[in-house]
Amino acid sequence: MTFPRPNGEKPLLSLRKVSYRYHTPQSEIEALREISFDVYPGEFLVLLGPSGCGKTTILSLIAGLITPSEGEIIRGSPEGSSLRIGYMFQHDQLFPWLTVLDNALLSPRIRKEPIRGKRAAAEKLLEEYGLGAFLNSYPRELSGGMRQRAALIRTLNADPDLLLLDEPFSALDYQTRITVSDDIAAIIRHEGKTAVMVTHDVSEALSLADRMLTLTRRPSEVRNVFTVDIPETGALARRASPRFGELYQAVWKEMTDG
Amino acid sequence: MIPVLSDEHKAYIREKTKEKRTVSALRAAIILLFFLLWEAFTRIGVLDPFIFSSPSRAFRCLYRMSLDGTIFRHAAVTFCEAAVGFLAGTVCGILIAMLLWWFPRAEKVLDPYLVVINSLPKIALGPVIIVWVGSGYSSILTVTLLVSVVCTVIGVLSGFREVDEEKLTLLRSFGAKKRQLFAYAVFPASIPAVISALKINVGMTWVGVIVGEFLVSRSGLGYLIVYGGQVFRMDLVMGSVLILCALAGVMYYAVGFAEKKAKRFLAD
Repeated sequence: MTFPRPNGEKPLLSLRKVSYRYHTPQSEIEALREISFDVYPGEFLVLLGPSGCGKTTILSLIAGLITPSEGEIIRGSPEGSSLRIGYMFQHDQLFPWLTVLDNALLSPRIRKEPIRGKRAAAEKLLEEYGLGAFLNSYPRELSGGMRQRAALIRTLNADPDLLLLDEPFSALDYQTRITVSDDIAAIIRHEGKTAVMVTHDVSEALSLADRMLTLTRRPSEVRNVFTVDIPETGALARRASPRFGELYQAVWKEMTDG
Repeated sequence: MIPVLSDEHKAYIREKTKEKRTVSALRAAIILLFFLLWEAFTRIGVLDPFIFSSPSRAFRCLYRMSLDGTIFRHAAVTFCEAAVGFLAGTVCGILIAMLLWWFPRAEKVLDPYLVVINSLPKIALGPVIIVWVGSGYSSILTVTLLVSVVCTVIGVLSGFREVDEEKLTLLRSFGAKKRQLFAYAVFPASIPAVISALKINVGMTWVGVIVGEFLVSRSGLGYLIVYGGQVFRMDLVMGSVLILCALAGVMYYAVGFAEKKAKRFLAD
């Protein structure tokens, strides 16, 4: 099941009939079965599925941390080089012993890139997204929302071709979650980044996605693909849209039908 | 801005301070009572001062020995042995833990040996060590090192293992090599675990040093204790034990202070 774009745009990433099994001493567990989808440059793709259906496994496969049991993953970065992956997790995973700026500079330091230019870039990003006063603060001095923003900037500063978001908002309380997801999605769109996010939350998925894949329970297969054609762009505005309600009903019905 | 405290908050602070003072006072009272009872019992003949000594005798003995400086010399010898043994045990323990972290298979293979060596009373090896490294400071340091190194390895290694896997995934996504994973995440994140291991190590070190001195030495507090026991000078034994308490306390609080600082630095 692939969906080439009508304008013939080349996908950034393609999964072709990817299956994944993992082994425990007791048994062999089929986590993913023949998953196929494409990710196009600049889109926000959400994988929606029940807890434990192997969503995180899909991200690990995309990142190349594990290899599929069967099938193929084609990574077509713009320059033909290997795809640069940026991660965001449920917990921001900021390093508490580093300042916000030093956290943002982790990737150039690891890659041993000249730090001066990267420092300026990081400072600019942090300032642009409201963390200018906190460059030399430690993560513990920031609110939950600001911390996720700092974590995103750290990831963006690694200049990734593709962002992988592993339920990045589910550790936040409900209201913070809505504002922070609005905020983070706006930054990702503003920076023109491609993102794949996994979540089990239907309304979160609909409020952020350009396109959405629904997954079945384990062994996980792609159940359906939705084009999220909500005219509003902000995550908050979207939730108030009539189209949001329609899609929500449709997705909910499908998810609960079994 | 000067913070204005409400009366209720002032009362709360007062209550807290009072509680703190009470605890300190009770602590002091216990030690005072202990010395008083000890002194009293030996004076009225409930305890035989020849066998149990008494605070006044112990302090008098310490005072006499401080006049010609002998007690300071012995205390300094023991303290230096403890400090060197502590540092050596810590450094070796951390290095071994790093090796085991780097080679997970080695850790798997060696795990049962570590557990057995950890539960083995290393003191049992004392006589062998004297034969191997000779009777002198080297023996004392070897015993101290043996006693402290294994528990350091175990404590530090478990700290290394507790690092959040997602932090490592993040660094890997930046292309981090194993060495960088260690330097950027594993080591800094486990500093609290390292310091907890050090805290246990303080006690271990003193056990090692004193037993080592029992076995071989010609000076140090352990030597004074053995000597005092042999010639039945309990004031010397008790006086040395008191100094030992003080030294161990100082070392423990120093590590405790470092722990507090590290916790604050690493708080998330």
